[in-house]
Amino acid sequence: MILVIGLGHPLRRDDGVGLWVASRLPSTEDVKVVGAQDLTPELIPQVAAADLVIFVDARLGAGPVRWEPIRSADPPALTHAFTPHGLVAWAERLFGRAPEAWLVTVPARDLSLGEGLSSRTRRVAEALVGRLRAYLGWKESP
Amino acid sequence: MKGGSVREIKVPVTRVEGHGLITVELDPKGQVKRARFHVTEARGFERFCRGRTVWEMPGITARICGICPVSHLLASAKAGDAILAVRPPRPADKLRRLLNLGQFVQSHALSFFHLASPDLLLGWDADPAQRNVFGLAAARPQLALDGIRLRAFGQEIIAALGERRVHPAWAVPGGVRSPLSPEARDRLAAKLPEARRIAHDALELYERSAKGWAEEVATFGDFPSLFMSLVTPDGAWEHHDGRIRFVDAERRIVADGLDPARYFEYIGEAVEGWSYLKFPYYAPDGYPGGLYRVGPLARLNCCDRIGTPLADEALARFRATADGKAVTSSFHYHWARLIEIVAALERVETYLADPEILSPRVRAEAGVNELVGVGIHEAPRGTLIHHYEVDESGVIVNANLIVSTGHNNLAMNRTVTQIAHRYLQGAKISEGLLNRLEGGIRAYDPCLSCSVHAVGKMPLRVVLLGPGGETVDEVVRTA
Repeated sequence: MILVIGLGHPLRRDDGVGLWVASRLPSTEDVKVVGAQDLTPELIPQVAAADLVIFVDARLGAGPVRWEPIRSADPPALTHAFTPHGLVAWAERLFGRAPEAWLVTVPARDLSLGEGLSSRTRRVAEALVGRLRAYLGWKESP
Repeated sequence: MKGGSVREIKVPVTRVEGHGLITVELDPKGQVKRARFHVTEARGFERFCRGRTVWEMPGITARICGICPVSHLLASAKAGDAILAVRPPRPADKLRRLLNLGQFVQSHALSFFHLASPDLLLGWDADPAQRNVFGLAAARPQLALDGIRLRAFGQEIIAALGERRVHPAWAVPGGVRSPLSPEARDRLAAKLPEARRIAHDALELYERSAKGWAEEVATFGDFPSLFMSLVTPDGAWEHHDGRIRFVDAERRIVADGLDPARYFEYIGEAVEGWSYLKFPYYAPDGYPGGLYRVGPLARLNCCDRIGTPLADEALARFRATADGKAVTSSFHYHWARLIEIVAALERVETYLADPEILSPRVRAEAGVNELVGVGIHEAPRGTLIHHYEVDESGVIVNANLIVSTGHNNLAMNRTVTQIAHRYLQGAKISEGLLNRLEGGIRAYDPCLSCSVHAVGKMPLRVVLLGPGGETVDEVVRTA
């Protein structure tokens, strides 16, 4: 099973690009798509059960979409929410299984309060949706 | 950066999240002068709300924070009730309460099992490589899994009622959009016994272990103060309605039966140049003398009783440690959270057995009948206030939000000062000091997602300042 987690804040414009991408990817029998404002412990069993996890998140700055492999790491000390690395580490420690995982970051420039993506981030996100749909086996565009 | 303005704070920004920052200032003799907990992100959400309608507000404000959306959803819906000048039908009130109890369970479980337990059970001076939740999972795997299961039960209550994929705003002005389904009720009822077993075990573990934490209890925010929470008209524990009560450290009632909608008459809000988070205070006592605390500790200190058998037994044991006076150590926020989980699960059982929660009569319809509405309820972290002013069409012209982390701002600052006085040795930030400063803040379970309305990851930076304001030492614990 492939798990896609779109991450971001829906009221901080480009910060919500992960949610935007997730909303355009339908779940199927083999692919589960989740939108999350924060990464919380409920996701741990889902991560542990997946063969592949793809986190989609915003990244402050310019440049192309980046794909980075995730290795498990300790969680931060005070946080309520986890990093993708921490979530994978939890899955490994508690369920003895860490799936292959990738962090896909989309360049974001406007993180002000508001709804909707900047035009540049939206263009990059649309291209990412197309690529993910192709990779995950969907042929039609959103 | 001595006593500096927030403009001087260097905040590494990776996305939009901010660092928690603690500064410890030394006097010329090298003794701790004071310590401060800074919130280093600007808020601005109130301005963003202007121009939206009161009916949209629950859905919008629920998106302020990914950690406690239910709290904002309910406070906003209550402010909407006031603007519509309606009372939600009784089934809607019960369903809203059930939702909030689910939020209490999941939020308190996260705080205790995932964030606090490594400190409490592995020790403040344990090897940092082990003093985390992974170390806990290795040492006590059952406890770690129990924490996930208990939190999942609270989440399941929320999902059964108001999950966003069903509708972005399940609670609305005038009530809720839909009742609980019989299938969801039965599913929740089947899982309740395990949740109660986990809560019972965790409470027993805390009470059994508490004697070993005497030093931390005495130094993690142990000082006399006021406490504020909602209580029922007859003084019982309340989480969604009722009147405001203040008690002092002796548990004497300072003010009672206060109208929540008139909060601005007894709560002032001070601003300091070194933090973006405001400093609410009890107005009759002035600033900063009107320091008060909210949240689980305050709710247990304010109420006469909880009103359910197991929770009331636990409350009696809790109060016995203070000879019936207020429990004044913020360390025991953890204990209070566990008692509130027990209380919440007892009430969940009652609601699940109540056929009225399946009633379709869940919403009172009305137009704009008042131009000002205040919604107050008890979020897991404490009293949450939404105050809206609208025009004749219900469009927001002004909004003010006071979140629980804000109410506790003065107390958190006093707590880090107390810890720094006790544990700072020389001019070096030791691992033990850092752990305890973290632990002192963590006792309040602050949610900076809410207080600054941004993505809520909170690494910590501690800076030791010399008498001239120069940086003597600095430690960053990153995400």
